[in-house]
Amino acid sequence: MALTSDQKSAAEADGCVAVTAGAGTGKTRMLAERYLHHVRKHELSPLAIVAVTFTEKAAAELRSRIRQTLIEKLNDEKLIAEIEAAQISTMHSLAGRICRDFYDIAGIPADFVILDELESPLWASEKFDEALGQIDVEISDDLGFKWLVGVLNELLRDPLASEKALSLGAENWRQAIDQARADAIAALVDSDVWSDASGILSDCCGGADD
Amino acid sequence: MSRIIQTGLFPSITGQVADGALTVALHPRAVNGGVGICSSKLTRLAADVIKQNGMTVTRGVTARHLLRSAILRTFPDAHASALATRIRPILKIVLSTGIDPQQLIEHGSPRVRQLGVIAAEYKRSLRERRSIDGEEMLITAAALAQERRPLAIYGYHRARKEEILFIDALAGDGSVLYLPCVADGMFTVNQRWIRFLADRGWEISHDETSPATTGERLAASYAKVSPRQSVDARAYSDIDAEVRSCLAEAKQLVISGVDPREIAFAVRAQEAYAPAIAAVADEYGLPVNITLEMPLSKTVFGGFVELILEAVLKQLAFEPAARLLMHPFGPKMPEGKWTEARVEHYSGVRAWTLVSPEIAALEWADEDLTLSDRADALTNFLKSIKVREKAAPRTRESLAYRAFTEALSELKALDGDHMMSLDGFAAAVGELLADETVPFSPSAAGIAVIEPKNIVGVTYERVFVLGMAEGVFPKTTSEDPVVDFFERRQLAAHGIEFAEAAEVARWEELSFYFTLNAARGNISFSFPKIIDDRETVESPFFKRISEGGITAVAESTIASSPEELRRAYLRSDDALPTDAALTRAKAQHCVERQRENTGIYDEYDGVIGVPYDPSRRTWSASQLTQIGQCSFRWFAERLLRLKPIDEMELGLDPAMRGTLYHKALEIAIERAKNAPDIRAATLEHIDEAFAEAERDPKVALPDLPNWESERADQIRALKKAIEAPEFITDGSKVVGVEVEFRTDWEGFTFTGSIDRVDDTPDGLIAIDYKTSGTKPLGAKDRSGKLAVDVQIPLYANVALPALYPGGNYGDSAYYSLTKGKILRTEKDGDIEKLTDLVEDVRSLLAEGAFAVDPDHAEAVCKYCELESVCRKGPRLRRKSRAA
Repeated sequence: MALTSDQKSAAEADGCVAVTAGAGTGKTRMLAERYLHHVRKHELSPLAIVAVTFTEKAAAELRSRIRQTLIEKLNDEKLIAEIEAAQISTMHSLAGRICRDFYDIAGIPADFVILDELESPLWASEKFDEALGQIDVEISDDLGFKWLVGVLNELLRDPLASEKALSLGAENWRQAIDQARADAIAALVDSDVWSDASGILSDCCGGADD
Repeated sequence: MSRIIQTGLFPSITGQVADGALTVALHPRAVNGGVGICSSKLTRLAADVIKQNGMTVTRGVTARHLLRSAILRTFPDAHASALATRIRPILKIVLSTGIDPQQLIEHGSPRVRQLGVIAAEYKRSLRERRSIDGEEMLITAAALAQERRPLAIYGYHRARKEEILFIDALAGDGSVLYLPCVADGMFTVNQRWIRFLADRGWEISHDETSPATTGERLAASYAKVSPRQSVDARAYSDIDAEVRSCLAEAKQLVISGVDPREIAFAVRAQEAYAPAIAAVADEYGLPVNITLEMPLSKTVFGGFVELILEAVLKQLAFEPAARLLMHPFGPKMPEGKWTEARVEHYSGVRAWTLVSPEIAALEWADEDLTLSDRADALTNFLKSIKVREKAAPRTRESLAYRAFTEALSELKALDGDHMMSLDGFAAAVGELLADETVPFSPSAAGIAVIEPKNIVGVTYERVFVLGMAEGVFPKTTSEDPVVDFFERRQLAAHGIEFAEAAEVARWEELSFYFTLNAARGNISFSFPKIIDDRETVESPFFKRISEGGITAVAESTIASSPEELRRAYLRSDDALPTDAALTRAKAQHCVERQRENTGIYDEYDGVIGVPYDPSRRTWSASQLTQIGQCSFRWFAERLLRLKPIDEMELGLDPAMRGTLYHKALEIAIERAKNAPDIRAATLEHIDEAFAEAERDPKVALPDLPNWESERADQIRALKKAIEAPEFITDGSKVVGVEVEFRTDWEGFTFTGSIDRVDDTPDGLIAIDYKTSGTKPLGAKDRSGKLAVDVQIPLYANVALPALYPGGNYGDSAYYSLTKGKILRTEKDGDIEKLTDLVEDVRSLLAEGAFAVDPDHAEAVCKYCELESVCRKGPRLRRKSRAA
């Protein structure tokens, strides 16, 4: 079955493309065609393309669909075989691979393992208590133990943002917060949604004597 | 006579071999009926060559030790063990294929250069000992072999560089190498090596034999030289269903006279399937031979050693030590000591030694010890608790014990004098457990459970191919983290040849091709729709071989074991009178069915039909609340006296915090109640009162992590609650603290203890402290909502008049110690609702009907610990509320 014109334009678009569509409308098929487009038009090896999904099953289905598409439309046995090694996986699997490849940059052991859902909270709780024990009693007294525990848990929830915030130094936080707020307001005012809403309000607004 | 390569779709052993040729086969079964004087393997011949040249082969513990030492010499800052684990897979390829480490250093990325430096140093240290790594055997033997002899080489159907070079070096005139190869892309690697050998003078003979067996016909179809056909393709719900169905069929074949050794289960994901196949085969009474090497860490014995180390590293803390003692290989503990150990929350060598003297041998945590000292301590402990004897009845565990103790001795011999921390020793033992292996099924006879790559050149009467799911078979090719496929291409430009992605993928295809070839008779293909809770997709191999669809197979109706027969009878009304176990199981199953169906509650759900006279006991506000929330909970806890196993709390949970706060306030207010300013006096006494409460045995405060820091916070919170205006109203006096009462009302005898009684300008009031910030859950009203407050109306209308008859009574209240404010005061209508509740409870007691009947939102179940008894959940919605 041929692609619809929308599917075709998405599959062959230059640059980045975002597609939203309901279940059963042919997203996977379109993705497989886009994959083929990159292989054919940009002469990319499957080893140079990353395809990510949310579930293992979706990744398996996507690999299967891409393989079938390449078998049907590409007469290159080597490229088709490379599909088996292509990075078509869940986001977690991709992240795991990046960590494995660049463990030294990430600052983790070369043979690190990923804790599962059961182990992770147990380990975190044990280490959290150990870490709390390192904090000077005077500091926790000044800040309040409960507050401190709450704040540390909050910071651990988003370690990257926390590291960024802490690196600014407490003396610069007020300025950073003000700047972030100003940026957010500027982005909102500049957004299409805001200008559309503003236009609608102006159009609907009655006269002074209304 | 020249040397011949016999190619074709299924080259079979023919008469082209010279008389007296030695048959060399990967798998001993492959030479059945073959030619030649005796059989051998390439590795065995290579080992002979190595030995003749005065060299030794290094493997296992020694090889890993030398590799770690090489890493430490070349990269002193690296974590040697972790780096060794990371590079070992690619290092094997470097060694087996003879890639020159110097080339890697010259042309590789920093990661590959690091690999090259380590590989060069490792090889240097081996050569110093006139030794080679086990992986280097074939490639080294290829360079050293001097004499050629006629060989018939069969089963090495997936050409590898090191094998081909050794074959070329060793095979003399009259030799025949059987190597399947046709024009299809999956034979690309074989085609390349055939060209190489042809350039070296080998003659090519193409075998045009037509497919003769079912497997060969399918293989021809798979290699695209004949049309696709229908195959026996099946989908099962999960691995268990797949394994049961296939083994049931195998059992039928065995019963009909087929030799179990003529049946094969080809399984790519052996780790996932081996336990299920072994368990079901055991249940069915079928012998199986699973050709899987299992790391010691996956054995029961390995798990026990890991437990010992964890327990010692954590200074015999309760959890790991308890697991160690409960392990089947663990030291014995006297009956009845477990409750004491749990309640007391034993921790440390001394405490555990009281109940298990052998634990004393684990006092080896902090001393400066050598590797030998630590290894001896561990082996002595294992001996003292007779682990070898305990492992003896199970062959695999017995082998694991032996492999471990031998490896530990080897480690001692290599590095025994090295001072080693406990952490370092645990890591070394952990590596040993991960690297050393034992056979999964030590017996060699029975149905073969074999990986497709090992099935090459062997045939069976019946083949089952299991686990044919996308990503399982074919297995998704994974990148090596050191030399990825992108870099392999760049290195290839410098003549450094690692297998490319397509080549690795083709190996999977070839494995499937050889699996097909293995079937002389029937062959079936199946996959489970779920693996590890994840949905699967069928393998692309199905499309390559079959025109038809895949049949979804339901549960088998044939029982293949007594267990399956029992399961079938369990659900039927027929009896199996001779089976006492089944009779009991049927009775239990009947109870379970009654629980799950839409019928009314019965005695197993608390509706016992035995009346209970309320005057037989005294009642508290919390008891009345409990029976009003869920009568089953009251029945189970108060009448049956069921309770969860006592365990010491490890953290300051809300209940313990409440007890601590109550006690501290009791002490402080008792001392402050006659002062002119009660609030100020209470604040004055609260520090000392808190300290006394902490020591009070009834509070039983455990050792808490970071308590010193948290304690200050708790006192601060308590002071805040005292300072709040609503803690005590102006002009009030404290009449009593923890005031006990006992009185009769509506046919019930009530007892209790009021936290505080104040004489306020509005009259006497009862104050009940709450550590939560919200009012407590009430009992159910007649609409099923938790809207009946019990405690305050009972205190205000029953307890206070009994304690202070004829007094003037104000609004009693709950006071939140967390929020520092009144949560709820008595309201009009409270006493009428309470009276209704008492009436309803009286009816329940008279009927003996204590059904599992929480509120609609099941809010009362949140902290209830009886879920395993009451089995709340969807089934409750099927039951009639009216019942």
